[in-house]
Amino acid sequence: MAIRRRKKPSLVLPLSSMGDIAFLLIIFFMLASNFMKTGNVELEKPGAPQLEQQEAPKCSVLMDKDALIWYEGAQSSKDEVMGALKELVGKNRDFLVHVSIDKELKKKDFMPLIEAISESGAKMVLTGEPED
Amino acid sequence: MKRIGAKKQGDISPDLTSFSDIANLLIIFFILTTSLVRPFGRQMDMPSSAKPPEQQKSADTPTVRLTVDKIVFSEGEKNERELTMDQLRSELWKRNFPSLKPERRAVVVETSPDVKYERYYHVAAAIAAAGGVIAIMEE
Repeated sequence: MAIRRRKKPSLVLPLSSMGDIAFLLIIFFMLASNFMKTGNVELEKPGAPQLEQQEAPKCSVLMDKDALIWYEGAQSSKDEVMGALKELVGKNRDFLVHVSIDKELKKKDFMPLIEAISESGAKMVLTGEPED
Repeated sequence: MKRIGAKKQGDISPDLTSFSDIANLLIIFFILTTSLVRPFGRQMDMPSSAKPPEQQKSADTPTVRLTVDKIVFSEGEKNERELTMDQLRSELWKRNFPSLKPERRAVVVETSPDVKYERYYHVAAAIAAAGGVIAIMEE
């Protein structure tokens, strides 16, 4: 005798709201994102104790291991950096710039950059790796 | 009256399944490119000229002379002492810079040309941590 099989109910997942959630997440990431503009720069930060975690940088200046200056991800000169920072400081006196310099560079390479940023009037955060 | 031969209007229901795929791809893009890492560092208090004004260079202005292998600490012309990094930190903490007037917080840093940034950074971070203002001097 043939046994009557129960008909399986078809499973339908309501996926229409998934798209909405996904778009909300996109909007969140678009507003909260701060794109890394310095990923291409090769430098090793110096380590030091008593460092504090800083806010995400609004503006960053880097000096890589070949003593090349990178302002907001683009290669620049010391004078260009100073000019750009002076303009930003004119709009906001408390403008904060993150400065990362390769730990192996010598004074003749890094000091002119520090002096230029200092002269621009921008407040400076020297970044490093925390040491215990 | 209905027109004869008029087409029956069908329900418009655009296929939205690919939308969520696009949205998810965008989310993956943002997750991968977003930098949520907050860097570590120290905010440096430096006068805008980076060099100490003459009136700040009084006899008791602390001075750190930094060479490749030595840290020499002095107050004006007197008390020149060679210190380790830890000794320098405690020496700076003793001064209690935050309680002083801003113009009395200057610490002159003289750096010799061969000093690497890492070494300079240690000293600068120690001065900033103690509440001092870094003034750069050429040696």
